[in-house]
Amino acid sequence: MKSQADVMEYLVLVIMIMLIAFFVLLLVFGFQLFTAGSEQAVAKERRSLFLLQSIISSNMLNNPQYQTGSVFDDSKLTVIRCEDIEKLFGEDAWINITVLKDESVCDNVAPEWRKRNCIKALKEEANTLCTTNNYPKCNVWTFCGENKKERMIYRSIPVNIHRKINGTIELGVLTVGVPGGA
Amino acid sequence: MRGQTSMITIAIAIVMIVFIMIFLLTSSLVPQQSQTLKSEYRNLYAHNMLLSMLRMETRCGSISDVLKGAYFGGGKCDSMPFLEARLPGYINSVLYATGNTEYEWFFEATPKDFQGSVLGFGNPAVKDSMEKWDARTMITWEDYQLDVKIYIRTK
Amino acid sequence: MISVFQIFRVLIGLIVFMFVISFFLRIADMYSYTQTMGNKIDAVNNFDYTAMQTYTSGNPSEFPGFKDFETVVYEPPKIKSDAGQKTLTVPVFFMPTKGEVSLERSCLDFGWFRWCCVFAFPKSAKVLFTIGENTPETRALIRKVVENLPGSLEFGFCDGTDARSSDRTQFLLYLDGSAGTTHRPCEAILPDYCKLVTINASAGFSSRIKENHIKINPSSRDVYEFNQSGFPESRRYRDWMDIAVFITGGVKALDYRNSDFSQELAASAGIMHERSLLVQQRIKDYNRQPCLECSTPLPQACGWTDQGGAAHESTAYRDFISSLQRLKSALTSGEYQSQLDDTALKYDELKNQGCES
Repeated sequence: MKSQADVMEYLVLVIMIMLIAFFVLLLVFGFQLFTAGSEQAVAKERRSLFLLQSIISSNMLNNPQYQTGSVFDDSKLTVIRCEDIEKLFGEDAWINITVLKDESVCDNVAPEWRKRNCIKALKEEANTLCTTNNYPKCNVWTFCGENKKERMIYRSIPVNIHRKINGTIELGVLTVGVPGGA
Repeated sequence: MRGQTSMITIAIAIVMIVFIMIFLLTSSLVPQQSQTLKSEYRNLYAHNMLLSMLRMETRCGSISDVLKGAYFGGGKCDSMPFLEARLPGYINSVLYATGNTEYEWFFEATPKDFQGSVLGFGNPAVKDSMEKWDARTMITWEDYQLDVKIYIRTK
Repeated sequence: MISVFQIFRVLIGLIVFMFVISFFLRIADMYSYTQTMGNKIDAVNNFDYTAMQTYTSGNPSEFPGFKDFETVVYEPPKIKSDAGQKTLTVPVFFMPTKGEVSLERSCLDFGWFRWCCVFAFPKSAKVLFTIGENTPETRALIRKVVENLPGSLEFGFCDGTDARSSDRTQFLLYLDGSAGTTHRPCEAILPDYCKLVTINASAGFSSRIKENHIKINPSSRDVYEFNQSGFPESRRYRDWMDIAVFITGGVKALDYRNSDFSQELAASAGIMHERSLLVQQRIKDYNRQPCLECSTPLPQACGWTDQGGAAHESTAYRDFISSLQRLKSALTSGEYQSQLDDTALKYDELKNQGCES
């Protein structure tokens, strides 16, 4: 009886060691899969950051007078198409540039009703998508809308837009989206 | 009795190994590279926020011209009331439009090598925060330089 | 007296021990291979990312190298190594090495169009020149090439068996002072990562050195590289950028450069053409007399509409638009350099008139 118990104990010990080894194996491979998944996420993050940096420094979209970049030329934005964006920056990107209208231009408008109309006109123009027909009285440019998917990584940064016709520099926001994300 | 003692020892060893594995896994859960990229994005954001703000043109001229007017006079309008009324609104509108409403900020202009007060807008506590990130530039006018900075952190 | 059970226990213990050890060794080997491959893929991705950062920021950078790699080969735009092959995201011209790499951006600027690339060289790389006929044009060409290659390189001359190099600043001083000097064909033993550039050499020069040796003939605008079978392969060059690219990667690099450049130029010319038409039209609409909006700072030379409603077109914009149209046609034939230079001149005129910043 005692020796049988000893043998049983030994066998149980062996089974335990095998189980530990199997568990270690599972953990190791699980960790590898997790690392691979997070590397994919890092690659997507890099892509979105690189896209932002390329767009703000691209000669084809920016005013070349500003060597540091981030000053878009509104006339260039109006004529460029999705195919051009894809050739310059790759095929998966969604890009939006929006001017933030400055209501202070209405500060000195009098009387009050004219000031309200001024602000109202600004707000109406604020969301107008630019085409060659309404240029330059428009404030939004969107490229490759068909690339917009449900799950995207979006990144936005402040930028300037140079209005070619009246020569002013306005404040705006650049948003890029790449596929991926939670 | 001896058998039971061995069983317990083995069980304790297994539990210890499992906990060590979990600890090692969780301690490396956030990849280093992702942190670096987040930091790069934040620095780019702060840098662009500062430069875009200074370049934007208002009814009183560009913000950088209005700041110069605040120190040296001669601007298109009364610089200080304009900055106090408008600058926070511009910065907050950008934060809202970029979906970064969790950020708070402090904007500061300091005269370099000449007499003048330090101008500050926003939440001054951000400047002393450990988790802030910032951007900085110089505005030059004749022989004078203005050191302009923006500090940002998450609320 | 040892019992049977004790022997049984020892034997079972040994068998289990051997099994467990071999199992773990196999896992460790597999894991180590996966980990090593993962590290190599990371290294290649990091190189790509460093090149991207250099390209967008314009700041020179360094890459620590491809440690523990067996092979690293560059066939632009693909980098081939133990970790497979990867197409680099931005135009890179890389002299392959496993050691530390210096990266620097270089650009060709035509005003309305700019094309940039990244040069990546081993930190210990050298470029030696052998000048057959030393003219001011030759020196100007060498200067332009040297100024646009990474600053960490050493540059020098090879005259017969005498091969010396120094940093860029010192070399440029020697270059300026070398008027009238000619060199004998290079017979020196060249170190690793050293490129020899023979320029303007007359007939009878030694072609003993074949590997890492390129020849430039400025009068015919030809560049030559010796291929693996020992025969020279040639291409025409357009500018200093072509020569810098040829020095870095030879015929394959130059072919890639031309292909990428002409594709981007074609896309940019199309965009700029449409944009200039739009701007030309709108400036006339907004630049009206008497001043209704008073908001355009653009001079009349850029186009305007008079009191009677008659539109006055800008000749500068008209000339620029026609030049772009001719460039677009020339791109199909491949001979577009003179037309590209003309667009740059026309764009300069627009800037001089205050119509473009």
